[in-house]
Amino acid sequence: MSWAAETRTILKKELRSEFRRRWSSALLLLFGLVTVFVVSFSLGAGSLTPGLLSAFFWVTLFFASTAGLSRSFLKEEETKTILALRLLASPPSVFWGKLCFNLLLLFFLELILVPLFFVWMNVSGINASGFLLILLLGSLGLVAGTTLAAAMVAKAESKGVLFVILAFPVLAPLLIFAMAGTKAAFAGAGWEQLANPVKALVSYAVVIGAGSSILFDFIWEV
Amino acid sequence: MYIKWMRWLLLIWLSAVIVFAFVQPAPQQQIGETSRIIYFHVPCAWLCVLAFFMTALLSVRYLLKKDMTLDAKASLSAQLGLLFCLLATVSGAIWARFAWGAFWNWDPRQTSIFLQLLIYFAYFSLRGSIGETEKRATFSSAYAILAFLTVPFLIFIVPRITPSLHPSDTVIGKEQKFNMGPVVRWIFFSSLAGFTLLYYYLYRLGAKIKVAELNRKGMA
Repeated sequence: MSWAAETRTILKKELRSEFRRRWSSALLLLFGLVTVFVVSFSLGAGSLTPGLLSAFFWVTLFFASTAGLSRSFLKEEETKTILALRLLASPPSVFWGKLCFNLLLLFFLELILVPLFFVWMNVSGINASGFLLILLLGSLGLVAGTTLAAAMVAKAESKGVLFVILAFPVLAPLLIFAMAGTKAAFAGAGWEQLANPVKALVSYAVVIGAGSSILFDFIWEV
Repeated sequence: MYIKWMRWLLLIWLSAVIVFAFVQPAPQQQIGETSRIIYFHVPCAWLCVLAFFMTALLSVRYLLKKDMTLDAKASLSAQLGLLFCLLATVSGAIWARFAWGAFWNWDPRQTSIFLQLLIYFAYFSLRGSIGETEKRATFSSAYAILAFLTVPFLIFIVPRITPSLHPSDTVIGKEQKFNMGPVVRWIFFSSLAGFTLLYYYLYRLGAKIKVAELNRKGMA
């Protein structure tokens, strides 16, 4: 099977197994909902400055997504299917299949959480297309930076805590760029002010994604 | 063998650097007396990055050769890097108290050194939570390399996105070139060389111990 076809097969298998465990995606969604709720409820209904809004937005998204992103390899370990996956598929296709699935999962979360955040936090007067681009690139970087950590914690002790500890330092530059870009987009800034964060986000996603996919070969084999 | 006389060289060299750093006039008039920190803080920060670069390099070599001594050396370099990172963070915070008025104000430089500290902590947490030797070596190597890929972003891109008050950007930055006098330059680069030699000395000494430990366990 070609590399692309194998990646598609892994992605299909992920989607099917997720569909069969619908309650688990519902749990992820609820977890995200609680995160958004805690943040917006504790801040009240006042309108915040773009800087604060973008900071809260990415903190919320980071914590709402950790529960789902950390599980991508853990569930293989729990259902004892990890050996079969190692026998049947090549490491790059496992990595990219999981990464694509994580990205879809993140989009699904964002589809519900972002409108809720906007409504609850009274976000208005923004550069919508700029915001969507930053969100898309930020999500790419988020899955690129966490897939390797997810594969590592599946085989380590104290998994949930370790995932956040491992993922955060790697994701920190991404969060800084995404927050800067979102702040500008929330303030209604034009494209020329978004150019630098967008460039930084693209380079981050490419460098970290490529690096992770090379390193994944080594950790998948042991 | 030369490890033995290197400690005497280091003792004399670094003592001389410390004496000259305090008897000579302060290196930068605008900042004043506290600018003497440049002789100690900058070398610590430099070693913090150099040690992490060495960890990443040794990790790459471990992944290619699967030699346990390389992994032991990578973690040793990270230990030294953590030490110098703590020294750079604390000395920087004390300086910031007098130059900027607060120990901590999340200047981009403070953010990036704190993230470097977090990377070291994460590296050692990962090592601590995997029991199997080969798995621990492979995972921590992969993590060190991945984390090292973020360093260019932290050093070169983050300060461009968020403005900084750090003297390397305000006083030494492109517009207001900080011209070190010849004396200042001599003390500064002697200190940099002395600190780098100190790292090398500690690294060689630690590597001997790590290899001896591995040999005793019969794993080298």
